[in-house]
Amino acid sequence: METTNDNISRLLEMLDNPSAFTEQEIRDIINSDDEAREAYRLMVAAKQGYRHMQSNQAIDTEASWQRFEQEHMPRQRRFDWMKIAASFIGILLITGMAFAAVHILSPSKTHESNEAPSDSEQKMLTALHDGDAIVAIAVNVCKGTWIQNGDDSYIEEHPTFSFGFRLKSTTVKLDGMEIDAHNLPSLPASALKKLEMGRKDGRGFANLITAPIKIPANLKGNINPELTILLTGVVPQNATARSSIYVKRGLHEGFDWKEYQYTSWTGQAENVRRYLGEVAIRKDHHVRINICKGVSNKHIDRIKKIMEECNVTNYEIIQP
Amino acid sequence: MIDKTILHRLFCRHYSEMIRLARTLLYDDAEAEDAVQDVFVRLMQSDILPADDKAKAYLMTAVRNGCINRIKQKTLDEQFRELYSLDAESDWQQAEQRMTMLEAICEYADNYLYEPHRTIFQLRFEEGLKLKDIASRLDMNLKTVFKYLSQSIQSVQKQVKP
Repeated sequence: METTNDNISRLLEMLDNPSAFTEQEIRDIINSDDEAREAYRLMVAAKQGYRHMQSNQAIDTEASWQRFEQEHMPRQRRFDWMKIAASFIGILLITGMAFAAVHILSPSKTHESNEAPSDSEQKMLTALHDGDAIVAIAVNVCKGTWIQNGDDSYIEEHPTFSFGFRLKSTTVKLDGMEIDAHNLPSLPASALKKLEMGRKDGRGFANLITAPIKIPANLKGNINPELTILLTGVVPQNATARSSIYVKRGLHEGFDWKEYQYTSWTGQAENVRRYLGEVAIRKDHHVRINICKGVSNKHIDRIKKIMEECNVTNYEIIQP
Repeated sequence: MIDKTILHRLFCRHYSEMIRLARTLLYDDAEAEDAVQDVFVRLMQSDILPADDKAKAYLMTAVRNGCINRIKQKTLDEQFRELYSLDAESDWQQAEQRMTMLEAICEYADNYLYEPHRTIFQLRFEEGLKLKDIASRLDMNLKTVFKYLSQSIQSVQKQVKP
């Protein structure tokens, strides 16, 4: 009887030279031998894993969109958002905002800079075009602006944030007067003290207030400056999501991975750098790193390096 | 037909994750771009727009299904030689968890396998070299490369179940 090792070796041999085997022989080893099938699944996952990590480089979405337009929209006029939004990397729709406000975020600046751009760099209002027509107004928001989004009220802490309001579905007012999109007032972003948005009588509204305003003392920012990271060293047994690094908002003393939210060292969907980049925006940030027993120095050095790259300076390493 | 502005917004927001998933499954950048473009073409031609909070799941599932169909169209010999998933439907029920598991495999291999096991594993699955080429590059006996890679696969299997 063949050992598992023999089966895997035979599988490797077939993979190196599949044309020397018939389709039936390939099917036989994949379908009739559990060890070989599991080994094949592991090999597929290993190749996919490395491919996944190699695919982590920045994507030029706009270039891809242009290719898409050329190939699939040849007779339609080019959309002209990017004339205005070239510096923005992502466009996020605020969920639950049926009146189609567009939230435009510059992650690179958000994550790399601790300071808001100077007033001279940003205008408060920008017209967004589709061809020759103005279809929306972008409102640039400085750090420290009071945002009232429906029932949600907070101080904006990200250094670069913009909201876009579609004129078709939203009325935009500046200090009580409806804005003429073709004749936008030239104001610095820092002049905006409060932005109110929501929906009323079936239509969206955005009220921009530049008059001095008293911000309630108990109003909080939208970034939690405290974060705890847990390093488990290996993937915990029974973990549904296989990861060796976990996070939790706030400072936390526990070492049980179940109390945390999983993240990843390098993944795009939930990457620890995203949490750290946001935390680092706050000067009063504090990160605690809980390290389980047996975690190698390689992992500890790796998280220290990430801290440095993310400009997280105030952190403590706790080992039981 | 869906409004171009809305299509562009969805494209900007989700394209990078969609193309990454397609590249992970198909291994080929050009084919991955075709697969993602197919999703947007179908979306553009339809009148049904996914709700904002479900758009990502909808688009990622569409990419996954498109990739699986493309893999199925390849011959078994090609699927096998290029290490495509032969049971992709069950592999990708939970795409995000699957991604995390893939990363765990590579992290374990990169951090916990001893040499020369680690290098052999990386040359085979990261660089896609055949074992005889690995043996040649490392100046090792082919049987030794087989043995070390088998041991590495078993070692990773004990830690991470794909």
